[in-house]
Amino acid sequence: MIVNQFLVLGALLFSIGVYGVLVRRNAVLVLLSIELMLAAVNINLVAFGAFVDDAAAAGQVFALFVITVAAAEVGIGLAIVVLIFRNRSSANVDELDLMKW
Amino acid sequence: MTPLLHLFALASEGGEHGLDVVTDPGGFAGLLASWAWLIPVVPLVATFAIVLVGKRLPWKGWELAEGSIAFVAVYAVALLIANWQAPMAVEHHVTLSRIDSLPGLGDLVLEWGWVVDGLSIMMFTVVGVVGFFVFTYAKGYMEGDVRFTFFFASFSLFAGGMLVLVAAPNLIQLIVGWELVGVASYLLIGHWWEDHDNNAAAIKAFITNKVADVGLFVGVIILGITVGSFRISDVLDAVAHGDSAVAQVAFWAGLALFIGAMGKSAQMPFHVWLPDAMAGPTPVSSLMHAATMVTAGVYLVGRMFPLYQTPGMADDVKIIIVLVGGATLLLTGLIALVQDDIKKVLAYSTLSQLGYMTAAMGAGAYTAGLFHLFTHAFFKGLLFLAAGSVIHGVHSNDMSDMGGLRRFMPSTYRTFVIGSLALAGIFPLAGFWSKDEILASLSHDAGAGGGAAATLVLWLAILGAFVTAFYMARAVYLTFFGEYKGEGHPHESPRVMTWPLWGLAGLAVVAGFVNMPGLTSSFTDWLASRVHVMGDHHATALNWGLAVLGTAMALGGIAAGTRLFHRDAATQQERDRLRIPVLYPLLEQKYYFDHLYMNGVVGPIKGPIARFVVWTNQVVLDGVVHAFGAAARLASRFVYGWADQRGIDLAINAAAAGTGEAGSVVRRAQTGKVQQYAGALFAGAVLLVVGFLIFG
Amino acid sequence: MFDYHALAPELIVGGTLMAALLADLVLPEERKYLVGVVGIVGLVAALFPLLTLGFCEDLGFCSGATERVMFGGSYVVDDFALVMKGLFLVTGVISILMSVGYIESERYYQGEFYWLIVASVTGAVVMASSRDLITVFIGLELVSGPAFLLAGWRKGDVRSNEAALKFFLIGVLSAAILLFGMSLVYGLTGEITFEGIRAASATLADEPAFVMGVIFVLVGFGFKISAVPFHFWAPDTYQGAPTPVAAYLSVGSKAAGFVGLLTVCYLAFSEVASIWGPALWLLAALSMTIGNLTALKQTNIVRLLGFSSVAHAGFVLVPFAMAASYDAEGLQSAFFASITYLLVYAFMNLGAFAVVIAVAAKTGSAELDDWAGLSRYAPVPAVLLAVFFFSLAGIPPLAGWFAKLVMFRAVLGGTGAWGAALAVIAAVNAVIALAYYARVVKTAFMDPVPATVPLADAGAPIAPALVLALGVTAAVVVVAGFYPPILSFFGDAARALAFGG
Repeated sequence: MIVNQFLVLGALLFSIGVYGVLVRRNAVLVLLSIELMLAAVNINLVAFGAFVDDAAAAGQVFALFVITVAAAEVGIGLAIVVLIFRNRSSANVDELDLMKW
Repeated sequence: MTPLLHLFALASEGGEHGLDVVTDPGGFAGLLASWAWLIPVVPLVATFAIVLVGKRLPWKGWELAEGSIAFVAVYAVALLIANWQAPMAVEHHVTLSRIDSLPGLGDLVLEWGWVVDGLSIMMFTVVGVVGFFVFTYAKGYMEGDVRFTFFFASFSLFAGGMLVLVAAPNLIQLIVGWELVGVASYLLIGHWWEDHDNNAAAIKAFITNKVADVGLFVGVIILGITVGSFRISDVLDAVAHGDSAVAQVAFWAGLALFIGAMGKSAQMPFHVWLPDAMAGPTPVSSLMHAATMVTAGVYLVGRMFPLYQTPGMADDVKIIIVLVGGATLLLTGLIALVQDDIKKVLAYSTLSQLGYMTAAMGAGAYTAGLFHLFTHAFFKGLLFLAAGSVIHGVHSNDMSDMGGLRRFMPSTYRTFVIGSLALAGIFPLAGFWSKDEILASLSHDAGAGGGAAATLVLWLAILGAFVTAFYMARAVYLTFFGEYKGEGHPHESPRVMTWPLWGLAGLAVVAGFVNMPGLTSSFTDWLASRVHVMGDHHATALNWGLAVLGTAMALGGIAAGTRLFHRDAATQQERDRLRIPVLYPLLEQKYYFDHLYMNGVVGPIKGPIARFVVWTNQVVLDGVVHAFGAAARLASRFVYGWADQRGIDLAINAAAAGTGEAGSVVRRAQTGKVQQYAGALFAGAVLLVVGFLIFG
Repeated sequence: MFDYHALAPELIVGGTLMAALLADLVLPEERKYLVGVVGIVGLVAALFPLLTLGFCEDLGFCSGATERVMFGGSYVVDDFALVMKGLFLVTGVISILMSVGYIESERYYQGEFYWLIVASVTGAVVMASSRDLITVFIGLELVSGPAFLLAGWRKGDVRSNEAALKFFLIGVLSAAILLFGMSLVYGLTGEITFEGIRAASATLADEPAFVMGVIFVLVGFGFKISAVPFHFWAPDTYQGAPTPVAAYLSVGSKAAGFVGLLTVCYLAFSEVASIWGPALWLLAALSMTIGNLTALKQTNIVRLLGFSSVAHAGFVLVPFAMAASYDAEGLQSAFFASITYLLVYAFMNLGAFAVVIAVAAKTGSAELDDWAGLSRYAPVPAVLLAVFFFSLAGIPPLAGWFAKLVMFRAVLGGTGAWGAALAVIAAVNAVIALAYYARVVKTAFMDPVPATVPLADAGAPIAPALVLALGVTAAVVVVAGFYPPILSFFGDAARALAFGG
């Protein structure tokens, strides 16, 4: 089985995610970009899992855990974003610099 | 072993108590030695007692401090007599805790102990006796101070810390004592902390010492790890046996320890804290300059002396020591010439005398260096107390506010003159004997392998004798002669302050007699009673040529001072008189000193040497302390406005000024923008990967 | 096959979570502090099985191997795990003690607050035993998740919001990077357990993708321990978050990160120390220097402590940054030094934060200027402040000096110029650090009291729970300074891990 294509896809997706995290201003989009990164991780894990072919299917199991944890994190993240939107009427992350230096 | 310590030892893990008797005096002397742990403990206990109950006592805690220091003095003198009769060198160790078999490092054993030998007894005596007089005097001086009780608690801590240091048979305990002294000095220098400058001075002292302490720590860790034990005796044993592992690291260890010593003993370029430390109450200056704190560095070198003296060990450091000492003794002596503050004159004088001691140690003159420490303790303690008495009388430190005080303050005047003569090295006062021994040792060293450096320093030291006498003569004339220029009516200090002056004056006269070449050698014998005495410690005969030369220089200095400052000492006129080349016929160096003085005080363009000395002192050397970090930025600040220190909270930024610049730059990275943080995080990850792939 | 004895601490903490939820449900608003009591009782109860496990043979409960391996090697209870679990539980207890008065005065969601702390501690406890990638990841997220919420606890305060968002975003980003690294490691070794990775990784040191995997894993933990350049969130979050939460983050959460880093480096990547050794060297040097330099210029004490904790992370990293050049003995000594430093740091930093809470209640602010002359009207907190700050600076005879000592010993025990260079950097940093610690103490003791403080109720007594927290931490810091074995004993016990590697 050829694993390289999957890895290239994963790496691309990860890079797009990083780009989004660094550049998008809206907090929700930043969160989504992080989800992209996690999706890239899942692609990697599943591809490797199939490639390595271990009896315990650790790659697939790992991917399931990542999906679960990611869902929980998004829950937390959106809660925080909602809070900020309520207090500031804006969810732009680059306006948050009350604390610096 | 005493019952109390027995309990203590049992309570501690693996408690064991080692007695390392090298020369057991036996009998009463042995008993004295085994109870000598009381010497550091009593002042420390007194500290706590003063803090706890001091305010409720009739003399607000002073009596506890005085009692504890008197105890130390009596005990130390008893030990001194015992040691005189039969030399002793006893070490006691109590294991406090041990951590077994740290991998690769062996056992870490923390011990407490005390060493009773000639060197430590000499230091006990100095701290105890000078301390006793200073504590007595301080009762009068500090009368009515808002923090009278706290002052004496700190004062006891100061003495106690020094005694812990001196009694330490292992390097860890030595560091503990070293730090206690540092902390206590910080409290005392900043005693009047309402005044911002005092704070600044206190913190400057603390930080400068801390910087140098890094050297001490590094040295101690190197030695401890190499030898596998922090006991000084084990280290010196390894040195004596020519242990090859120790020989490999000896140079760096020796250098690192000496850097630590330079901090405490205020050698260039770490001397900057000492003049500022004058901000503390005068008794503090007196104790600090005479007995505790600044002597610690010289003591450390003395304690580790075999390390520096044994060929193949750290003997290469000696040339550094001798040159640092030589530079310090002359350059700081010159600065003393141009000070208007009486305490600053004495402070720079101490620096200069510490330079003598250091130079002697570097020249391999163990006895001479410590002998000067011993005699200096008495007359410098005296001079500070007398200066304090003057300040107490006229409420000013500035000598231009004084003059003519000999009529108002006869006791102070007489004792100050005795101290000055002793410091100048006039026969037969204490300073004569010790300074002559240093000169003789330097000359001996110059002939015996010390080479050009020793010769150079010998000439610096001889020149220093002239300078010493000159600035002391100046101080005496400006303070006690001429017309009184201050405000109010000066008055002699109360009895509680004058009798310590006379006590110390007596010692300043006789202290030198313990080691008159050819006549008595008691001091040499005291110091020789320790386990490791190495090499040639120069119990030299009186070197007549140098004695005469040294005395002539001192008399010359006094004569020059008299010519310049006697009689009319109204400041402006005095400065004008300096323009007349009076010194020219007397000394070849007239031009040099004349301009040094002019430039130091008035600061015109001429006289590059004086400017260089002052500039170096205030700019470059302060800068060394300040200048971790943004050196370039600092250099420009020094050039454009070193005097402009308004904006800088020196108190805080002593170490931080340099690093602070860097800090200001670095903190800009903390932009507050979370995406930039994320970018930094990701960039860090990528750079690590790329860096590893390229360089790994 | 469950070993209930070995899992007892986790089970008790899990039970505590349930009990706390239930208590929160039934208790009336003014009694919510009892949820905290439940949490404390549960965490303390969980300490007992740790003791019976640790002294198992001495107590006659069991014989033979002290190491209990479960779930196919994924979960191991050894002496190292026990020591770290103990640290986490104690940290949790002290954090709750610090919170009681503080959160009570805020008057909302008290119950959930304590519950979240216990939940986060649960994650840390799990991490200490994790010996595979999945478990360590789950543990890490369980530590972080509740902490994100805790950081944003003061919902109406925009600073608290901001603290939570920064913490969250950087946390999730670093988790993604960590996972990406883990996926590469898994793919190249085909193994998920540390033991298997170690066995398979010996030949992979030159494989670029594996290097990337290892370093990305380090980055993930580097965020948790707030090592430079992954530290930026830390000061902002500490400043904005409720102070007890900052205390927990700077100790519990950070220690969890170190546990992950240590186990991963020593157990999974021990064959490729040539990769992480230099990387950690760099992180250690940068963390100490940048952390300290930036701390110099801070005016807010909590923020200052944030940068100080960055610098301390560097100090903890110092010994095992040199791991690549050590032999087996050197590795153990580095491990011992890191753990001991961490233990000492935990107590002194918790204490420092506890003092900040106590003092801020009197001055109404954590700005340094407002603390001037503290010793005049609040002498006891001022003295404790001096104790903890001087301990952080490493001044004998407070516990911090011993931590620094073992750290220097370990790094000087290595060979070569790199070790010496790092020791010099550490020494210079120790001096820089003194400047800002001393500045705080100096302000508190020497500067005149400003007109605006103290608050009218400055004389009010400190909350009893906080007093307890202060007392415990101060006692440990002082006693351990005079008698270091009370902490180094545990560091020594934890060293077992490095023997196995």
